[in-house]
Amino acid sequence: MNTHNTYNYTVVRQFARMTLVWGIVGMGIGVWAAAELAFPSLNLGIPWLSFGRLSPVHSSLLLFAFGGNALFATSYYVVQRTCHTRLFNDGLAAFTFWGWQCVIVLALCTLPYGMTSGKAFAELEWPIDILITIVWIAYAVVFFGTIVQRNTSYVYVANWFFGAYILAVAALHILNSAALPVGLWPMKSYSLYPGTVDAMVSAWYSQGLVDAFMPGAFFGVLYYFLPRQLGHPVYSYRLIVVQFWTFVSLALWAASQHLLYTALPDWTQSLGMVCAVFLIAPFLAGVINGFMTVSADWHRLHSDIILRFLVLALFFYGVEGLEGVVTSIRSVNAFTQYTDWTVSHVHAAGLGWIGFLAFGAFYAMLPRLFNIEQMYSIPLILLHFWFATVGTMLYLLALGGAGMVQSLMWYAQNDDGTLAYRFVESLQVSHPLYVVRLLGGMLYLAGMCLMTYNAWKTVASTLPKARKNEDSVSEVDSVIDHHPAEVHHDSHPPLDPRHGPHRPVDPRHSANPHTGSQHSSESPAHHADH
Amino acid sequence: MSDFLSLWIGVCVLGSLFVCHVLIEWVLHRPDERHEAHKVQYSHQSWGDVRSYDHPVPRSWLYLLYACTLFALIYFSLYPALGTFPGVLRWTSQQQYKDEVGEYNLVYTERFNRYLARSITEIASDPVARTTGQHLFMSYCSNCHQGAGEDRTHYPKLTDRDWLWGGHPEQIEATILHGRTGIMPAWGSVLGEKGVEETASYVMTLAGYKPANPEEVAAGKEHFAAYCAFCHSAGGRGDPRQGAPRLTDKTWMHISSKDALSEAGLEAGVRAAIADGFVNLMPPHWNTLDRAQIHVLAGYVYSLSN
Repeated sequence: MNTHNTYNYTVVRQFARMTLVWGIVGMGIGVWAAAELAFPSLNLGIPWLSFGRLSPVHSSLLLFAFGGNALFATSYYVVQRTCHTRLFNDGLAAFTFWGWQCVIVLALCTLPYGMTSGKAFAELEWPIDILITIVWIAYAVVFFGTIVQRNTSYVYVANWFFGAYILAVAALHILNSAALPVGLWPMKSYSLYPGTVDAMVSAWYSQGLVDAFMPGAFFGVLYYFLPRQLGHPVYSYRLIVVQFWTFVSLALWAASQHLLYTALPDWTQSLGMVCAVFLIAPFLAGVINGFMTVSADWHRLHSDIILRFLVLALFFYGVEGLEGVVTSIRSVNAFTQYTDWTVSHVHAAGLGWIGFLAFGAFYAMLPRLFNIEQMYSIPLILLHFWFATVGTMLYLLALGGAGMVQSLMWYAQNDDGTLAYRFVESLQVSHPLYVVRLLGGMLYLAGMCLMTYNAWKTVASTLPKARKNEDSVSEVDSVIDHHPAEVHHDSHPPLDPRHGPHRPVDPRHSANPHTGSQHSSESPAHHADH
Repeated sequence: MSDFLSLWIGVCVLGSLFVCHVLIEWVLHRPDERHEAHKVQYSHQSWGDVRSYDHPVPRSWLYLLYACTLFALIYFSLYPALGTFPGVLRWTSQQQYKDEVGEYNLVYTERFNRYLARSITEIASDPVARTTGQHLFMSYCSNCHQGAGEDRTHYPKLTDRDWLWGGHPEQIEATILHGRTGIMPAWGSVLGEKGVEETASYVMTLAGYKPANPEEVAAGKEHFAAYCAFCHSAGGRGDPRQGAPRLTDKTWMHISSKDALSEAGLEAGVRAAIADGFVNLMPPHWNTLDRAQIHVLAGYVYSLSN
C-alpha cells in the first residue's frame, strides 16, 4: 500500500506551504502595526499603512490565512489518516485550496484600501463573503464526505472538533455576513441587522469563531498529534466526550459576555456571563486530559521539542481559558474591558495556543507529508521554540500589565471627586510596554521565519532521496499508522540505511515520532515478527 | 418581549444545562458493552491497551461542573437572565448606574455646590478650588488646550490676556458652558490669488511687519475694508462678540510656531488662512459637567492669565 497514492497529500502540502507564507505576511503586518502603536509616525502618512487599515488586515490574515490554512492542512491530513481513506473528492479539495487562497488575496486587495464591512473579524465585503461561503460548503462536503466513506467503524475524536468547527463557522459566517449589497467596485454593503442587534450578531460571530470554534478545532490537532508524538492514546476518552458536548452546547451562548454594560438587555448580558463562567468546565477538561496524557512522559520534554510545543500550547490554552472565565464576570469585566488586557488575552489564544499547536503539528507532519525522515535542522526547531516562548511571554506580560495600569489610572480619583489622570497619561505609561510588546512580536515573527526556512530546506534538500525510496517508506508509513504500538516496544536501536553514516535513532528521543519507527520496521518481514 | 419568547429562552437555557448533565451522567455510567465498543474504536488506531486509557472523568472536574451548575442556577434566580424574569434581587444595570452616580453625588455634589455661592475671581484666588479646577481642566480641556500655558496650533493659548471671545469671568464661564463656533470664511474664490496676496501683505503690516511692495499693501487695504473689517473691525482690532481675533499683535493661533519664525512662513500662513478659512469649534459642556464644576473650571481658567 502506498500512502502517497492512498491519501491525497497534495492538497495538504499546498495548504501547509501557504500557512507558512501567510503566517509570515500576517505576523509581519502585525509587527508593523504594533510598531505604529509605539511609534505612530511609522504610518509614514500613507493611508493604507495607517493602523486602522493594517489592523483588520493583520487579524484577517492570521485568522483566515494562518489559522484557516493550518486547519485545512491538519484537518485534511488527520481525517484521512484516522478514517483510513482518501479525501472524498480530489477536485473539490483542490477547489477549496485555490478558492481559499483567492479569498485571502482578495482580502489583501480590498482591506488596505478601506473597503470593509466594518464588522470585527468579518471585515471582508460581500463578494468575498459569497466566495467564502462557496469554498466553505465545498470544505464541508470534502470533510464529511471523507468521514462517510471511511474504512473504520468509529469516527476518531479529533474529527469531531474539526466537524464542529466547519458546521459552526458556516452558520456564523452566513448569519453574520447577511447584508444588502449596494456596490461592486468599490465594494459596499449594509448589514441587515439594526443597531444593537447588529452588535450582538457581530459579538456572537467573533465569540464563535475567535474565542470558541477555531481554538476548539485545534483540539482536533492536539488529540491527533499529541498521542502520535507520545506513542500512546489520550488519557481519557470519556473526558473528551464531556468536554466536547459541554463545549459545543455552551460556547455560542457566551457571546454576550463581550457586551456587558452596553445597550444590550440585562438578561442577555447575564446569560452570556453565566455561560462564559460555565465554559471553565470544558476548558479544564481539555487541559486536564492533555496534561494527564503527557503525565507519564515528562522526561521526554528534555529531548522532544515538538512535544514541548504541544505541551506549552496546552499551558497557554489553560491561561487563556481561565482569563476568559474570570474576565467574563461582570464586575471584573468592568475593570478589564476596553483596555489592552483584551488584546493580551486574544494573543494568549493566538500566539500561545493556536500558534504553538500549529508549529508542533507542522514539525511532526511536514516530514511525513514529503516522505522525509525528519526536519532539516533540530537545533533550528529548538531556537524557534525559544523565540516563540520568550516572544509570547513578553507580549502577554507587557500588554496584560499595560491593561491593568490603564484601567487603574482611568478609575483613579482625587480627593475632590475629579479624575486623577488624563487619558493621554495612561498612554504615556503604556509606551514602554508597547515597545516590549513590539519586541515580543518581532521574536515571534523571527521564530516563524526560522520555521519556514527549516521547512524549505527540509523539502528542498531531501526530496530527491526520498523520491527514490518512496515506495518502501510509504509502505512502512501506512504500517505505522496501523500499528505504532509495536514500534514503541521495539527494543532494537534502529539503523538508518539511507544516510551515509549509520546512526541509531531512538524513537523516544527523536524530535520526529516517525523517524525511529520507519526504520525499525523497514522491511515488512521485520514488522511481521511482532 | 413576548411571554412566549421569554419562556422559550428559559426552556432553551435550562434545557441545555439539563441535557448536558444527562449526557455527562450517561458517559460516566456507560454500560460495559459500550466500553467494549470504544475499545474497537481505539484498536484500529492501535495505540496500546485501550482500556487503561479510557480513564474515568476526574472527581475534581465533576465537582467543578456541579459547582458551575449551582452557580448558574443561583445566578439565574437572583439576576435577570431568563427572559422577562427580573430575578429576586431586581437588579438592573441602569439602577446600578443610578446608584453609583447617587453615591458620588452624596459625597461630592455638596462640596462642589458650595463654590456656586462664590464669585469666579474668588475661586481663582483660592488654592484649593484652583487645584480642583486644574484636575477638571486636565480631564476635560487638556486634550485640546494641552496643559496650561503650552502652545498648540489652532487652539487658543489660555495663559495670555488675548481673548477671542472675551476674558471677563462671566464670558469665560459662558464659553465653557455653551461652547463657541468661530468661522473664518474662505475668501480664495472671491479675492482671487492676487487679491489674497495683497490682503495678506496688508495684514502683515497690521502686525508691524515692513511691507515689501507698498502698492500691494494699498490694494490689500481696500480688500480688507470691503471684506474683512465687518468682523475684524477697521484696522484689525478684532471683535470678541464674533470671536474675530485681533490682527494687530503677533499672536498667530492658526500658524504653527515653526512657521511663524520666518516672515515668509508667516505670510504663507496668512495667505492660506485668507484663502481657505477656518471653522473653529469649542464644544459646549453643559451636558458633560454640572454648573458648579463649570464654575470652578472658569475660576481656574481665569486664574491662568490673572
